[in-house]
Amino acid sequence: MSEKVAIEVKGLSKHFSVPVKAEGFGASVKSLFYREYKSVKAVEKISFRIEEGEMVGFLGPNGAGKTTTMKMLSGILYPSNGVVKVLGYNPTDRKPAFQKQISMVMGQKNQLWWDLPATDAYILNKEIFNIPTHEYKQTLDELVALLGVEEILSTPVRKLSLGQRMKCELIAALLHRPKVLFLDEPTIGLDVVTQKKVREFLKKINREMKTTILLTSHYMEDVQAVCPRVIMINRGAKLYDGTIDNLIKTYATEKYLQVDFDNEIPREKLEAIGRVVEYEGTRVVIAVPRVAHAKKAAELLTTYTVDNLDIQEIKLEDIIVKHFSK
Amino acid sequence: MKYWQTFLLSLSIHFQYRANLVLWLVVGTIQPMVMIIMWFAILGDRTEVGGYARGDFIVYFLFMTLGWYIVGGSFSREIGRAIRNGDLNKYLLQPYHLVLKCFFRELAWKAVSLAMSLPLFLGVLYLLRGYLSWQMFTGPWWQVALSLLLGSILFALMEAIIGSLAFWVTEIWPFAEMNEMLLNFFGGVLAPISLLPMVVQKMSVYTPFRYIFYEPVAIALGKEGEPVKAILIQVLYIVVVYVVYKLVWKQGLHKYEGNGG
Repeated sequence: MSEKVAIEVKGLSKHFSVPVKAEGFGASVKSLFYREYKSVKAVEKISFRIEEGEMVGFLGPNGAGKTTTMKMLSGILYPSNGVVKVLGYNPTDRKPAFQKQISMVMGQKNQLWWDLPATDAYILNKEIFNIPTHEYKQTLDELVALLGVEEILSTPVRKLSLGQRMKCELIAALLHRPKVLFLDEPTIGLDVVTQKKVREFLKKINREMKTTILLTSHYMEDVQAVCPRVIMINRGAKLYDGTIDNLIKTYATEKYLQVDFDNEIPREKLEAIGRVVEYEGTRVVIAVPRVAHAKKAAELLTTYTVDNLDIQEIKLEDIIVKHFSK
Repeated sequence: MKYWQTFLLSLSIHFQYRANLVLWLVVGTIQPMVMIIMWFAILGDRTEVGGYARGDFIVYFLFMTLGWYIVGGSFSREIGRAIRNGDLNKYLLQPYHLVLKCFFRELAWKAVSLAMSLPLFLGVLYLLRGYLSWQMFTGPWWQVALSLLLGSILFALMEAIIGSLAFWVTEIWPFAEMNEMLLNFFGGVLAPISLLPMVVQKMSVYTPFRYIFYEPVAIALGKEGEPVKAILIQVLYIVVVYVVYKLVWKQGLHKYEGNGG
């Protein structure tokens, strides 16, 4: 891996001013003349460095400050405090030379034109980023083959499924071969097969194009599959920065067994197997030690009549609640 | 080239929605026809009012409508929407400006509308040919073309400022409506300014509104005594409004919270 720094963040903060309004009609009338504001600390003094070619997962529950941080790194938002350097640039200067080296995919926002086929938007991107024709053709062919979307390129975007649209979005974001790629919840709403394909694709472009990737997600599976390193934040503050293996070893010491029984089993009996996290009649979620999860699953299957058993990773929110909430 | 491509893509979209275009054409034709009929009624037995004969009214309102397709528009609403719902985010990531994109997108719509309304426009001119003569168009073509171009730049900059107000207010439509109202009144859209009360005429000289639609049409019809001065004032307004736009946009981006994705 190269030693060059792609992203450097020091003491980064973002505070938003949010209007406060009490309930009721009287308060609404009062707010016409006088409005109170409170400061919300979306991101508070975060620092980290990401080397060129690294793939980093940015983890945290909803509202943790992931997207806000990403927006400051890409130049959408001005920080309230702190310093950001991406590829040596100050992102909010929005210099074309910087913009031509980055890209961002936001789960719900798109670059494609709703009424037109994706290829039309690609041609526009070719002009926006001044991509030479031969390079454009080569990159497009590569990306289309990697994601297997040859058939849908000439279909108007409004007729595509969410998964197909996300694949086309990824192509639009990568046509100019950015050095840094920001991905905000790229697999949200996608089916399992497409999620897997997108993850594989990201690993491949990181390997082959040496793209630095920063990926936000609140699914640990997403990050576990692609990012060797994770940065975990909650309520705007950094909680953990290190390898995913270490995070799992240190904090994700349990796995969840989601079981559907044929008949309702008394809670006390299940407590003997592990910590009961959810208990809804015949559906139960039991937390068991990671090292013994297979044995515990086998024990459940042999002791009770089980309709379905699903072994799941512990939820990120649970790690935060268990280990980082003070 | 990127904005030319935007223009072409937008054209392709408008070709898909032909019914919308026809409806807009009908709506767009009604206003000048109502104004012409109204002024014919006011004229009654007289041959002219304030230097405007029947033929002048026909040409004035038809050209005002055509001028709208070249100069006018309403893309402030699209800018406002993009700021409000966070669509601006993607433009801040690329060397591609939201305001210019909205401008060229609307320009495509205007070009199609203009092309579609031309036969109708020529038809009306033919039917009313008895009132018209070529001598009505006395303005030098380069002055008319330049004034039209400057008018459209001034209009676009004002639309850009109104759209940028979305950084501070949730809904910009009251500002857009107010702009439209002032254009109707001081800009000669409802009636030629020289027919309005003297106080309005005097006030209009100190607003940018008369330099958007009115001056190009007045120059074309030879109703502007000092066309070069009017063009220079247009340039001056463009400089002032451009500086204001840059300041508003810059401040707005500092205020922007990028909500919605």
